[in-house]
This record gives sequence, C-alpha cells and structure tokens, in this order.
Amino acid sequence: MSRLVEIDHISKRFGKFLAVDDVSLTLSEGEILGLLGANGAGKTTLIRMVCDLIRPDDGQISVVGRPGYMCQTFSLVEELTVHENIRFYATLYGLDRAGIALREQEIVASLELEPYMDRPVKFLPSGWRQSLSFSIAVIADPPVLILDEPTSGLDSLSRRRLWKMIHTRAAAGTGVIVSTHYLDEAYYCSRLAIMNHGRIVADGAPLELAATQDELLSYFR
Amino acid sequence: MQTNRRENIRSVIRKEFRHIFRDKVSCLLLFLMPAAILLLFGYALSFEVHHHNIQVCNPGHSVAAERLFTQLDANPNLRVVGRVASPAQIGDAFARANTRAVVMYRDDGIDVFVDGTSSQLAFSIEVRLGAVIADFVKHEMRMAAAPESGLPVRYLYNPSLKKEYMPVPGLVLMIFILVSSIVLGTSVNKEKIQGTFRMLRMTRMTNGELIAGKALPYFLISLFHVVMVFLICLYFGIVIRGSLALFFGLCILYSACCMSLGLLIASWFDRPLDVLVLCWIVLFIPNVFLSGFIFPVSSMEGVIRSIVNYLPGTAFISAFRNIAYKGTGAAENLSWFLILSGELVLATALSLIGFRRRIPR
Repeated sequence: MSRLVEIDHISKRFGKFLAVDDVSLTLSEGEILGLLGANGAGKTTLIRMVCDLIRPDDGQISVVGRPGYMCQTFSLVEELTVHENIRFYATLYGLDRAGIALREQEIVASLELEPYMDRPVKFLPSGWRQSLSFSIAVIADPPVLILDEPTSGLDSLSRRRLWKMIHTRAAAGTGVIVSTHYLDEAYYCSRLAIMNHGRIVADGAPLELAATQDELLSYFR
Repeated sequence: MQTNRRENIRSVIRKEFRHIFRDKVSCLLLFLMPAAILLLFGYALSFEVHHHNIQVCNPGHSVAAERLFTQLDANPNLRVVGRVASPAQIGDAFARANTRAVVMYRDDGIDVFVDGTSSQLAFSIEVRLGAVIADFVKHEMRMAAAPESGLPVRYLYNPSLKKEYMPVPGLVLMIFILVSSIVLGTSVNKEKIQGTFRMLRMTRMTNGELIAGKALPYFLISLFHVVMVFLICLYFGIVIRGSLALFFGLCILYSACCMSLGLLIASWFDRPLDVLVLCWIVLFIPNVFLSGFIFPVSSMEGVIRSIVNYLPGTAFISAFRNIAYKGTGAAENLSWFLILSGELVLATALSLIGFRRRIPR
C-alpha cells in the first residue's frame, strides 16, 4: 500500500500555546486513521495543517493530491438548496458538466435525497446535512479524505450511516484521517493516534491500544 | 486556467446573490435600509425648519403692530400661534407653548425674544424674523433709508439654497458604508467562522478569487444604489454639473475603498461582535460625524482636523460637492482621489495579509 500522507516532526504554536508538538504520522491507501483526544488536544490544528489551511512552524507535511475536507461545523452554504450546493462545490472542484450531473445522481441515489433536492440545506435534519457534507467532500474523488469530528452532535443512527460511508470510501482505496472525541468510534478505525496536549501519546491498531484502556482513558479527563 | 478562474469567481458570485436574496436580514440591510435612509433624509428629515411657532405681544395696542403681526403670520415659514398680554408673561409663553420666539412691539422699537436652547433653530428663526421685520420697517413705516434686509449675497452653485443639496453626499456615504463595509464585512466573517471559507479554500480557489467572488455582488449592489442616488438627485432637481464619468468614478472608488475597509476588519478579527462593533466605531461613526457631512471640518480643532482630512468619508464628501455641485474636474480633486486610492490599496493589501495569516496559499 502506498503512502498518501507523511507528517514529519511538525509543531504549531499560537502565541505561547503549543497546539501541536513534534508530531509524526503516516497514512496509507485504504487506511482509516482515527485521531482521538479530548477537546483542545490539538486534533483540529493538526488536521488543518494537513489540509494546508495552517502552516506548521516546524516540520514538513506531504500529501498526495488535494485532500477532501469536511470541517467540524456544518459549512455548506445554508441558503442554497441541496441541488445548488452540490453543483456549486462540484464546479469549484473543477468537474465538468457531465461529471457534475453524474456525481449529483450518485449522491442523490446513495443518500436518498430526492425529496429534499430543492430545499435549502439549513432545513435538512442534522444527520442528512453531515451526510451531504461528506458526499461533497468526496465529490472530486480525492485520494485523501480529512474529516474533523464529522459525527459531532449526531444521533447514533446517523453516526453509523456516516461511518458506513467512510468505510465504503476506504475500501475503494481512499486514505482517511478522522478526528473524534468519542471513544466508542475508535473501533471503526483501522489505526488510532491518541493526542494529548499536542503530542501523539499512543499510535497503533484499536485492539492493541484497547489493552491499555485505563491509561488511554486518563488522556480524556 | 484563466477559464477556471473566471468560472470559480462566477460560481461564488451566483452563490452570493442567491444567499443575499434568500436571506431576509441581508435583503433588509442591503435594500430596505438604504431605501429608508434615502426616504427619511430626502423627504422627512431636514436640517431646515419650515414652520416656526411664534407669539406676539402688543402692550401699547398699536395699530402698526397689528400690521406687523399680519405680515409675520402671512410668511409661509412663520405661524403666529398666540398673543402674550404683557411683557411679564413672555417667559410663560416659552414655558407652556411650543413657541420659538416672541415679537414685542413697543412705541420706541421692536424686541424679539428667541428660544436659544437649540442654536440651529434660533439662527433659523432669527433669519426669518429679521427678513420680515426689516421689510416691515422699510415699507410699512416708509423709512426710505432703512437698511436692506441683509448683505447683497448671491449664492453660487445652489442659488435658491435648496435643502436637498446638503444631505445627498452624506446619504451616499452612509449607504456605501452600510452596504460595502458593514454587510460585506459581517458576511465574510460569518463564512470564516462557520468554516465555509475553509471548505471553499479546499477546492481550487485562491484567496483572491474567493474575495473577488464574495465582494463583487456587494459592489454591484452599491452601484445600483449609486444609480438610485443619481435618479433621486434628478428628482430633486439637483443637476450634476461636473463630468458624469468623474462622478461615477468617484462613487466606484469610494465603494471599493469601503469594501476593502470592511474586508480588512473581517480578515483580522474572528468574533462577529468584534467585527460589527469595529465597523460601527471605526467606519460608520467617524465617517458620518467627522467627514463634514454634519459638522463642518473647518470647525474642528488642530489634530482632529488633520486626521479627519484623511478619512475616506471626508475625501468623498469634498470631492462629491466639488464635482457634482461646483462642476470641478479631475485636477481639482486629485488629492481626494489619491487619498481614496491610497487607502484602497493599503486596506486591500492588509486584508490579504490578514486572510493569508489565517488561510495560507
């Protein structure tokens, strides 16, 4: 499996606060790397650096292609309809007319969004909104997908549906970095990196890390 | 590549227009508020008082006094609303009724008492009463040598002293700050904190394309308001004496300057409240109150006056009056255009640095 992301000793400081401290990680094809940690552990800063939305102070990051990104808050254009949002983002991702129509059909069919197509997205239930955000993040078939707490605030059914979509993408070879503060979601990932105070304190397969569960739980307090 | 860039900007413009027309608050701020400002200042609100309530006092029961009072009442700007029986009751007349002045006729002269609580109103009524009384003294009392009612002044550029000349540049100034600075700044800030900006930056868009696509709709709406103001000028009989191209050029430059200042605040501050408060404190209040729209710049003291001359609002108001009312050309307004252009370039550069600081590339 080829490497899609290589993070090499990166650090980021905001004033006196060290948000990310000497982090090194890799992501391979088809891998789902879960970033776990309490609020303020540095997950979002790390993710934004991988997306090139923030520059690291030290270290280097290399990413294959342009990653698909879904941010923590719902960030589609609320006043636009489902149909308009899909077309708007697809155009900006550089899809041609035929590609846009095809992707729109796929998204509508997979999410069963047909009845909601002409409804402004702000009126969609939160589970559907996140699923739509996810579909738009992968609209241009990115080799790497970066999801910042995508299941935050969702009910268990919506969370399960979103994880199913993530697994489908990973099975097709997309490398996924997903941050979460839900411990139970750790088992959906193929690999976990636990963050605490900006550092990676544990890195391995979920079952390996489960053996040190008590120690892991202490990082969430 | 060029086509992609154009297509990207077009997509963001389309999205922004849809957002504006579907969001009630945006529509209110961008269309209803400017319309309300134009209507209120154009029709209802004025610095000129049309009807002054006055009372008269004729303790000697003079016939000549009654003739004067009839002339006062006949003046369209004065209204005799009552009589004061004796000089001792003049104070009561001001205290009880909505009386701005009392005119008392004595055998040896005429006394005028004016409510001085508002200097602007006092000055206005003094001018109106002065004209009628001087005319009365001259014609009714047949005093051929009586002084003229005032200096032989001819008002240039606005011969009939139309009141509409005064507020128009200020209205345009306020509308541009509202539409171009405040609404654009808060809209950019909202997308920044919601994460829409980050989502858009993950596509192929650059910061420049994103800001251009975001700002252009507001610029077009500002132009719509420029045309509306121009039509309103025509409606009120205000003739644009100078070059129309220069007039519209000034409006476009000022609108762009306001947009860059709104973007500057939105790029460096994250909290919506910070952006809103700064837009009002840094842009709206100084530009409206210190630009010469309400208080003359020449009445300001030392340091304040030096600073005020560099406000975009001062440059706009001065150049607007010069071009629209006096008919002066580009050469006479070069300094104002340079100030606006300099501030536009500086604010755009600083806002791009601000956006790049948050979102690189």
